[in-house]
Amino acid sequence: MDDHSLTTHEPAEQQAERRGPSGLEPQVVIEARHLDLAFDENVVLRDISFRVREGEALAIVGPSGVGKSTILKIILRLLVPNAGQMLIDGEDINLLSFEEVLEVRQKMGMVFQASALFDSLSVFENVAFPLREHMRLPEHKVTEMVGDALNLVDMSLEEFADRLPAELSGGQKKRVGIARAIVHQPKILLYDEPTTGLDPLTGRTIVRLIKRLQSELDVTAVVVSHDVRAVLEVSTHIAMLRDSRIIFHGTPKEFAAATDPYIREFID
Amino acid sequence: MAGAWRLVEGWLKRAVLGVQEYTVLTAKALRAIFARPFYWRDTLQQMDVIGVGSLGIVLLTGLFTGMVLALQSSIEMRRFGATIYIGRLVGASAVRELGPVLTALMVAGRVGSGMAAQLGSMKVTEQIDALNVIGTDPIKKLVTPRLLAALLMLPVLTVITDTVAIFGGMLIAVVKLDLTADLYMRSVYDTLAQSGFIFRYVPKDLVQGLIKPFFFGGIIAMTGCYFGLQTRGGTEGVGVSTTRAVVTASILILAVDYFLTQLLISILFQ
Repeated sequence: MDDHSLTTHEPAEQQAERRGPSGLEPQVVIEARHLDLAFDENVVLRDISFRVREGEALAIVGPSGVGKSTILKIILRLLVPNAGQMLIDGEDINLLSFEEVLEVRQKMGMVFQASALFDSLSVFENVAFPLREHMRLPEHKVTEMVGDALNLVDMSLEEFADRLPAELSGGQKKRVGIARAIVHQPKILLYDEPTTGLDPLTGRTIVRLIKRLQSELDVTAVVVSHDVRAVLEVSTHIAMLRDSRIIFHGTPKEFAAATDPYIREFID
Repeated sequence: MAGAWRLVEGWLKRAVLGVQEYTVLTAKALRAIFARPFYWRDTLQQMDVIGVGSLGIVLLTGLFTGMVLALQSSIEMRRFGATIYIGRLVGASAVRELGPVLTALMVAGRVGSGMAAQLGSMKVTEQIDALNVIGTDPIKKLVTPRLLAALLMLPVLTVITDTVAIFGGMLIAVVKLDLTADLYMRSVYDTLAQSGFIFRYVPKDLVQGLIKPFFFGGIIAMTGCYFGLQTRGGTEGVGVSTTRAVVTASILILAVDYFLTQLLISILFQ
């Protein structure tokens, strides 16, 4: 439990399955190395290390306020750790210039806890935003890609394109948030508490949607959540935080079978 | 005693840090004016919000300021039989001081507060983070268009206020003081001409009155954006940021007005 490297916890057959027919390990996309973060005297993260390989979905779980979302912010370099490295495709994001960071962020899509849709823009404009910002595409192509992204989250362009975020339900906002995150076909998808604030039924639908996207888009994902049922379903690996440290790192099966009383209490 | 000192020290540190962050934000927003991508649509939209949107309050402010100036000064001037100089007084006061300052204060109340509230709401609902995540620089996308629009629109609004104030003064001069419109306008022209001209045709008073709103526009936009982006703690934080933005912008406008006047007098009139 002390070693947080993903590979050391996997049984041989799982490793072989992950390697695929070529026998090569998938490339490491996200790697945290000994991250420390504190605000004044309040230690938030201590010696956090993990690796996420291409196509994997790492769930970071733990009680509220333990620093889960902080890790996402470090991946995006919205926060800079006091010590340690955050490598994206082998490049330490903290050593890049602001302009270079903006470019790296274009490889990522983020689904926010409260959706964070731009409230002055319509659904169409929200989803089209990343395309219009960074890709010089003709308008018909933008419309096509926005339509595809909305279809992937089971929404239709005709029905929702002109609606404002204020006119959507919580579940619909979450879907539009996901559509905006995937529209530019990012390599990495980050989810911050994707089921929080939703009723159980809508929450389940969002979990199924994330799972489906994971298989259809083949992206690398990091899911931050305290919804155990959801993470067991969508993740390929789980890291659990307690008192600023990772206390467990393994597969969902290992997590579900863990005997540590704290983890058991959390699961139950 | 030590506790009091610590409080003062903490306050001073926060104040210095605030000034530093405000300056850095201003420098970044100014630099972004000249770097791609250019958000022309956002800038035009902000020009509409600041310029067209403020037209109503600016017209009313100018009209009543000119009218009240003429009315108040007429009491003293009548005593000396000098009512024909009302135009001079209204013209000089409006163009040099009241036009720029009152326009700026009204726009600070209307637009500065709006900027702080809008950016503050975006901050607390993670929309600013969303921009960052999408790879868009929030300063370039949100602050620079507002700054540019305010820099361009404040001088225009000031000219409108000046004009309407002079017209308001004329209404009182004609209706209450029995002056002719022609006499009143000649008196206004005389005072502007008296200060001298730049490039042969532009009165120095007008130049002074047009340089100031340029700075005031910068103060309004930057203060609104700064406090908006500093917002913490949900909707309550948005309210606090909005109040701070208006109060700080108003004080800065009045203080900068004094120093700017001093500077412009030494440059233009010496």
